Amino acid sequence: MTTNRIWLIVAIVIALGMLAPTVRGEESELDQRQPQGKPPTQAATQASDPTLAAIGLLTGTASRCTAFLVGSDRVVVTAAHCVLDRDGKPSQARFAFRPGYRAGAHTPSFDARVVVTGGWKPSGDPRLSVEPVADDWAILATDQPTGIAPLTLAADLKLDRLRGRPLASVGYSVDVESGRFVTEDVPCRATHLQDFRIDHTCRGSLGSAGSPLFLLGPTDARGALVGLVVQGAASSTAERLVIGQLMGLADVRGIPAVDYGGRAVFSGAFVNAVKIATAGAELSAMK
Amino acid sequence: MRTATRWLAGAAAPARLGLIGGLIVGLVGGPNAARAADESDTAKAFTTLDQQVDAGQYAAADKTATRLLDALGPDSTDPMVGRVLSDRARARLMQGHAADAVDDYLKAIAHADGPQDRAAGYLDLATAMNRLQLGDHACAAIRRAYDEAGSEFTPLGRVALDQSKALNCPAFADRDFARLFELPFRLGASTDGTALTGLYGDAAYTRLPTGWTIDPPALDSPDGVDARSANGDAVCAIRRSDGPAPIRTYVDAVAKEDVVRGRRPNGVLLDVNGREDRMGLQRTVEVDFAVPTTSAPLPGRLELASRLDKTYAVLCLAQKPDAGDEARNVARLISESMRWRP
Repeated sequence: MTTNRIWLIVAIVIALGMLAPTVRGEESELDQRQPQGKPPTQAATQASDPTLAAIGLLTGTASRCTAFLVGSDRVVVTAAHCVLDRDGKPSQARFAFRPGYRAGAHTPSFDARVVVTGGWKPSGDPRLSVEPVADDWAILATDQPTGIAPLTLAADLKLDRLRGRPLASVGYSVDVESGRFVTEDVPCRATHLQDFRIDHTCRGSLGSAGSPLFLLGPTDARGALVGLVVQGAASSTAERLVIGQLMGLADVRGIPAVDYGGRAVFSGAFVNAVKIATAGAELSAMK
Repeated sequence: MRTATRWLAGAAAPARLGLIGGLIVGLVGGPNAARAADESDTAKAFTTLDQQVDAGQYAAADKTATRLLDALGPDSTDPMVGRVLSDRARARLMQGHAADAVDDYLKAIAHADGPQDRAAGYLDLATAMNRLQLGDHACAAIRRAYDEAGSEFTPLGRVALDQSKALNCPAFADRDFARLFELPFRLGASTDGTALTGLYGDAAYTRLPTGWTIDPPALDSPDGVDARSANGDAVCAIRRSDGPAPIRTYVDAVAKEDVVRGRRPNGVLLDVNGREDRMGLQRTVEVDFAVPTTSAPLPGRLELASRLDKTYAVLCLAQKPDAGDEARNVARLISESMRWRP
């Protein structure tokens, strides 16, 4: 009962936070330390890269996506279309979150419930199913602490700062090893930035939705967590070749506008919701 | 008849013998003597032909060879026919009569005496195609030469293999031999096209089908040329960019991708299907695709090749759904006929 009250408070505060979009994405200093916070658990140490321990597979009855811990070892972020039905409601009460999932290795599974989502609703066109992009985020909370060091969202970062910078996405895209292992596409880049939406070139097929999007440092090391992939870019080499050429011909009469198809939500769209959820989770832990 | 018999019967005996002898000489020795004279003329003409070709007197060599072939007869099985045809082919090639030259090269190969001779004929043909910067044709002839030679351990097989490696010819290069050398021979797979000079400051040459036009301002562009069909059914963009593209890597990657009808999971385009092809002498990755639009999908084809630290791309897109074949054929024509200034 106490827990329910806490989450109710959290939901109200989140709703209030949504009413103040001007502060989103302009919070504090750019943080490139990943991960930080609590020491990793056994599950985390199974992965050679500590960042990967916080990234996991999120499965439901009819969904298979990537998700990641952020801010707290109980707060899970993924794409809204992974957990919502066509009416915009959670498609099921609990989802299974397996951080650091690798086929053949023992990885714990945590039940997770949807706490809050962006205002995402599916469109009629299957290809545009992830539109509107900026609202395609969801925050879940695990029923119990995972004990895994979470990732930290970039703060005080304006969307324009991503222009021309190398990016990387990490997730369980099924076009590589059938999504049995976490894979990374690096480097990729943003092709268009608008509001909280990032059009990008990071490869990914089914299963890549919900992947974290990182800025890359000078040595291609993963840096700040800047977004949430809601759709991976075309992964076929042939297709990417054609799209790259088509993009360069945008000024030729008769050539329609085409891009790689990758979409992501800028972290500014959900940073406040994550903060409040994190506070709620910590409060819950204290109780 | 009777009168002649009487006259013969009335002649003196020595005179009769002389006449009979003369008839025998005329009937038996005459043809041999004439043949000997002809052979002498033929050998002389052939020597003249060799000298004319060596001296670069190609027009004269062409005439000499033609006279020789006429003298030998159209159905002659004389082994000299192949050599004369080969010389005339070279003379015609050097005069710029490529179609006639190819015709002669192919006839020479047909007259060849055995596989090694045929291999030599194909290598001659490949040399001619190289001179015309027709890479596909050269590779097709080289692979034929290699097959005729029988093995890389024969001298001509060794030459063919070396040439094949030098041009990076695929092993299946002779697959299109019949199409490439269909007679009458057509330069760049089509003589319908307009020869373009001045593409990228004369760095490259290519052809377009009749009725296609290049946007005039594009001719002055250092790296971009756009062309359109007269009826507006399709558009092509020919682009040059700095740096080589990893064509071999692309080809290998594309070869592993399944042919897809419709859209791949998370795909953007429709009907994406890639393969290896040729842009002039260069290895090319060729991809067919269709762009989804709010109305019907627009089919197209991309050809991408690298040469001398530059990447060349030919992308043709239909402007109407039923113009897919035209867009794809034009992309291949531009690509196949692409030649670069040496």
